[in-house]
Amino acid sequence: MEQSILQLFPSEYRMFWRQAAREQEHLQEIRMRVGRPVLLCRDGNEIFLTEDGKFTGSCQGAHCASERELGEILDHICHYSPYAFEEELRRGFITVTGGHRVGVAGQAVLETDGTLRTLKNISCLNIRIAHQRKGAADRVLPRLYCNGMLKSTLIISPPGCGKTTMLRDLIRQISDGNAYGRGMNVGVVDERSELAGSFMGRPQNDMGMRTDVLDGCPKDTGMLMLLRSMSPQVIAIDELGSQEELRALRCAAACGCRILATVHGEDMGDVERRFGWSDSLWEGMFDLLLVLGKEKGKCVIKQVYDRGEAEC
Amino acid sequence: MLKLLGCGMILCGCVGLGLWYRDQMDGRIKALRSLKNILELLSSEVRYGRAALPECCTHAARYLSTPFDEAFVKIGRRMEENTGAAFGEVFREEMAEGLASLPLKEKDREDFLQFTNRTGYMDSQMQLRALEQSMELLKGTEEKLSQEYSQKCRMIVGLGAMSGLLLIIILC
Repeated sequence: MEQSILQLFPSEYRMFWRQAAREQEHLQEIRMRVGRPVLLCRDGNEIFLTEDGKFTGSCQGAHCASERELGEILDHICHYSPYAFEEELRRGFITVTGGHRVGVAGQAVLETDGTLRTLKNISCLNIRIAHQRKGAADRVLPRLYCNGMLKSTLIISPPGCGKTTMLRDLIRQISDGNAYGRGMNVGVVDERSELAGSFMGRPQNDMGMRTDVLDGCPKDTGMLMLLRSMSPQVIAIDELGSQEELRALRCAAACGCRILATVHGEDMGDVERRFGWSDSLWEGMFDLLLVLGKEKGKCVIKQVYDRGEAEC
Repeated sequence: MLKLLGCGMILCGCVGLGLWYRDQMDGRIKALRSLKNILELLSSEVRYGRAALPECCTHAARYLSTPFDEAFVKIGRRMEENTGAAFGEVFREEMAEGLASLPLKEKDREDFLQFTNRTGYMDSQMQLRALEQSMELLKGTEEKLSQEYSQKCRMIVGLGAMSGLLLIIILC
């Protein structure tokens, strides 16, 4: 486990990052900016690194990243071939082995029509450390089944309340099979590589044995592609965001697929206003709605709308 | 009789030396062509597959012959193991043995390996240009050698025979 963030760095920097790598389980983010102190987010708190790689709470004497250092790290992350990651760089992040996400910022290079061609003079890196929490969906899993049949489920949650983590674990458990239902073929459209954390098309997180992942593909196109090519029993997407995606989702539901989706929002009313949904529309597509939120700093399930609760 | 045998051996040795030199020249041209082919394979992988350089090596290994196929597989494997070494470093280390076995000059080896110092481009066209420049250097040397080959070959073998005769005359 320690190795996976060490592998982000070329050999000459590995000694420096050794202590941070030992704390990988507690790290959420590593932020590097040219000429600025390297910042780490450990258990929700900001800390710095001294010149010899030790943790310090003060920015005085903290190690500052150089332009050369950032360039070499990015080169290493890109296998010395940044051109091969052109699309990822355009999106602003690269997913690496271990499922970690490296966000990049720098100077934009534009095409003549004003669209973004690539980034150059990269001056900021933000390494988001992936933590797959197996068992994150254990509490809600029984609610997702009714007589062994999976219910189409929508998870509504504001950012940072664990909806992606919960969806990832649901996918794994539904795919592998669990105490409440048999394993099912799950198709995942992972537009931002957040669910599977795919690197070179290979999921880095455990997504279950019956899961097909379409990585980096727009959700609306991807859902239709999966329907045609993989005939999934369940389709899963993270962060439903547009009317096109909603249309594709309805198409999947009409084909008999069960749906697992997440959406940003505080509550059901928030989602209804955003998408202009009527009650009948979401009731026709989802059997179960879970609303997540935070109470006393902890992520909790705030509300559950279960359409078929009486039947189970 | 012994004298005649000695003269024959000197002549054969000198002609043999000339032939060996010709073979070396022929071997160098062939080696330059195979290095050029390797770079062309890598270019194709970059151009059509947009693959990263280590991935290009793994793919290209299937189309190469010994000793380069093994070297390319090793490059791909070592980069996948991610020991922290740079691509250029790994490429040079793994190719060293294969290149040493070929009748090449140090300049040819450096021309071939030149692209390893020019990696990390954001644009695939730039990476392709780096590969093409190495290819052009090799092509230039190969063309020059090929032009000289027919003339030099006859001259070298002739010189070998003549020097053998000269030695015989001096010794006798």
